[in-house]
Amino acid sequence: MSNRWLYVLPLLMLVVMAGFFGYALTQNRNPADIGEPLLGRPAPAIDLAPLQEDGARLTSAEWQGKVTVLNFFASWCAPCLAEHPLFLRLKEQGTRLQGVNYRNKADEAKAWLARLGNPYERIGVDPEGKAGVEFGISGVPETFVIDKTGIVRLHLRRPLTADDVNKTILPLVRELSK
Amino acid sequence: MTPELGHYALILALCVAAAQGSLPLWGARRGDPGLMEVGRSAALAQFVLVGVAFVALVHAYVTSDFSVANVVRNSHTTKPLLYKITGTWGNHEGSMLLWALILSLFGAGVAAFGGNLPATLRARVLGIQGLIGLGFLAFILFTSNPFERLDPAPADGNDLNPLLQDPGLAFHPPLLYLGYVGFSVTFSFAIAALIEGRVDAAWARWVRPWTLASWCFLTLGIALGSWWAYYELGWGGFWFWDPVENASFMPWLLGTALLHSAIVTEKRDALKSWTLLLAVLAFSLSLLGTFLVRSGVLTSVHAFAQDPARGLFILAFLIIVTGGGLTLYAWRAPRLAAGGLFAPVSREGGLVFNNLLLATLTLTVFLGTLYPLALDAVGGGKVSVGPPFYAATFIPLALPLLAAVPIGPFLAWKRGDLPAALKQLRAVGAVAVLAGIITLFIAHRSTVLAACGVAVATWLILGALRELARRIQLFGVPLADSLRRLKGLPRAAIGMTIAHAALGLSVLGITGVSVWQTETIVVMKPGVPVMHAGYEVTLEGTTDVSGPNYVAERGRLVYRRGGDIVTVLEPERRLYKVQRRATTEAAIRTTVLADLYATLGEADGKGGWTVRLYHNPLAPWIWLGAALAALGGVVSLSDRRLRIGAPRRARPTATQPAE
Repeated sequence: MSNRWLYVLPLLMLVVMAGFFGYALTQNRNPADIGEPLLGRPAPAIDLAPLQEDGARLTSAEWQGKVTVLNFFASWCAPCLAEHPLFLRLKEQGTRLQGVNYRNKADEAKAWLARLGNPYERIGVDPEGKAGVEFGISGVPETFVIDKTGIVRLHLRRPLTADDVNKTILPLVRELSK
Repeated sequence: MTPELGHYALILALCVAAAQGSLPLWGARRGDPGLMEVGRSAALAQFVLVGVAFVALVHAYVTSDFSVANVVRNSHTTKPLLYKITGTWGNHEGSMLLWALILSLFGAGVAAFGGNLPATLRARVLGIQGLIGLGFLAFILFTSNPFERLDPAPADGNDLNPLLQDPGLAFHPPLLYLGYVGFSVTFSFAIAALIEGRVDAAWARWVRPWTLASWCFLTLGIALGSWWAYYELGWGGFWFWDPVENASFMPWLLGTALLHSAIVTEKRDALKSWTLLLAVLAFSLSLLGTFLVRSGVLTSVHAFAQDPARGLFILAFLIIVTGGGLTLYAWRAPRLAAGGLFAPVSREGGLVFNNLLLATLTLTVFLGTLYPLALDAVGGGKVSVGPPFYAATFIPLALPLLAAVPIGPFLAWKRGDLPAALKQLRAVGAVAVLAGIITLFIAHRSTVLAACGVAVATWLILGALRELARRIQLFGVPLADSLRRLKGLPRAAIGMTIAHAALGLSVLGITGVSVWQTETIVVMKPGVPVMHAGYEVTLEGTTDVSGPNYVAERGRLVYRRGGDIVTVLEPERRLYKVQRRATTEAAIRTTVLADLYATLGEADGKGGWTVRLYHNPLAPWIWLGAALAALGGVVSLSDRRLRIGAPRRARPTATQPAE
């Protein structure tokens, strides 16, 4: 019977699957840890429409030549609200800060920024979360530091703290800007 | 004393399961009626013993016996009685015991109502059920003993996770398990058929009530879980493609495929080996779900106490059950006699189309769920697969499947006439397209996908009704004649109409929530109105309330339209005192057309409160549709053909919901 192997196929699939499960169980891995796979790799190419009518597009070409801090945020996200003042400080320090407005309604995001102040040099809109997928974020807020050649040097999967800004981001930006 | 009694009953049940899993199989092989009969008494005894163990655990919970470790971890004296009872299965050990109880219930069901089955088939089915029971009871006794004692006993317990202290979740696991475990009977029937090398119309008819009942329970279980997520988690969504949700959805998809392919096996004696494969896989996926939830190999919102030793045990069990089933399948299925032939365009062809798409959908969900694990295992890095993946893969596959649903019943067996079928559905199709176009232009924030959703939903509902109208020749003969025909219709046909139309309702609800949901997240100050979805919403203040084991802040949100009060919503933010965990209790006011949904967040310290307001058009229809679909299943279960040939009292399915 030539199609006999078809009947064996489900069994083979089970063997492969069981192998993976066995691996997963015995390797002591933490499935919640999704790591920072972009570290040391070029930041994904994006080209996002601006949030503000008079703003410029947010494109990955922009990142060549100057260190950029890129922040994914949304007006509906409470931790974003908490970390927002730190970005205003970061802006005062002369750091180039760009934002991706993640899965947010433009009106709400604009009102939010109008109320709190806008620290971002440029803001791209990501209404469907496609840029978020490109950057592998698991939620908002997440923050990246991208160096002069467009390589991701830092990825924080959480809201920033004052310590992050003072002890990590500012020194890193200074170091990379040399 | 009672816990020891429960423990002892469980050990006895294990011994009985060992007998049930061996003697009847041996007896069936030797043709020894005495040994075969052991299966029936063993199955009944197993049910009684596991029942005793379960009642003992419930008793420990109700009396707050804190010398039992499991009770300490999951209960508290101030917990309301309902949650003391349901807390029995709100944890790993207790839920496994519930699983074993339901398994033995189904085994006892086959033993009690399987009088019309040939003795060897019944013995084999019960034998396989016994082996499955043996595995689960061993798992409970050796890795997850719910009766473990604690000495000295603490004065009070740690309380149950507050998210689980909810009526919806109290009944979600039992329904889900009734569905999952129900597929074990289908599995056992498939294995028995493979051993005997015989699948025929009679076999398909015997299996049908079990499959159908499992499917109904699973439908209700999944719907209840999704409804719970909707109102309890306070995220405003109803389905999150979480691995554990997927784990319950996959058996449902394959079970749906099985229901349809078994019809072909029953009516036309075809698709036999495919039906067997589906029966094996549907239960395997149920086991896979158990494995995923309890082993900790994937992250999920469902956090059970996770332990690699338990994971390995379930994995080994999964490999034995599924591997054994598939090996037997690879060996015996090619020898099954080929069944009836049919043209591609025919009722059978339509059901094959249905099966191909449902199987592909299952595979899609399977890949999406396990891809992160597989990629990580081969060193490909860490990824997570989320809604964009499913939006891109699931919807394009589901739409043609849904579009085909109304056409199938218009095709004749063996050789159908597609143009004639479409001609009968012409008017329905026109209305559906029109509904889609109107959606595109009238509704605000509309998209092509929304138009497709509305069109497909209309097509499903009207198509199902059109098919019913054809059967009873509505408007073709006098109304009284039509009604008489309606009465004479097989219940299975009416069940199908209900289920297919219900599918349309759910599609409409899903479309409504996905596309037209309005979300307003604001910091509200008392007395300052906020506009939301055409309503003027005012937070009139918050009050402190206290429940039996929690304290809460309750907001009073008044919805006005044109100055008149439409409704008042009172969402709560609860803090459970023992576990120090906060939960949101969404307030929902539902009309037939939409849900007004509000949750109360944290106070900002300046007199304002974060409030999330949702307007979810058509949301109630999602669950209404699911409940109706299950009702369709129940109607179909009452079909006469599933009863005939059975002993007088035998309605094999009527007893299953009973505990």
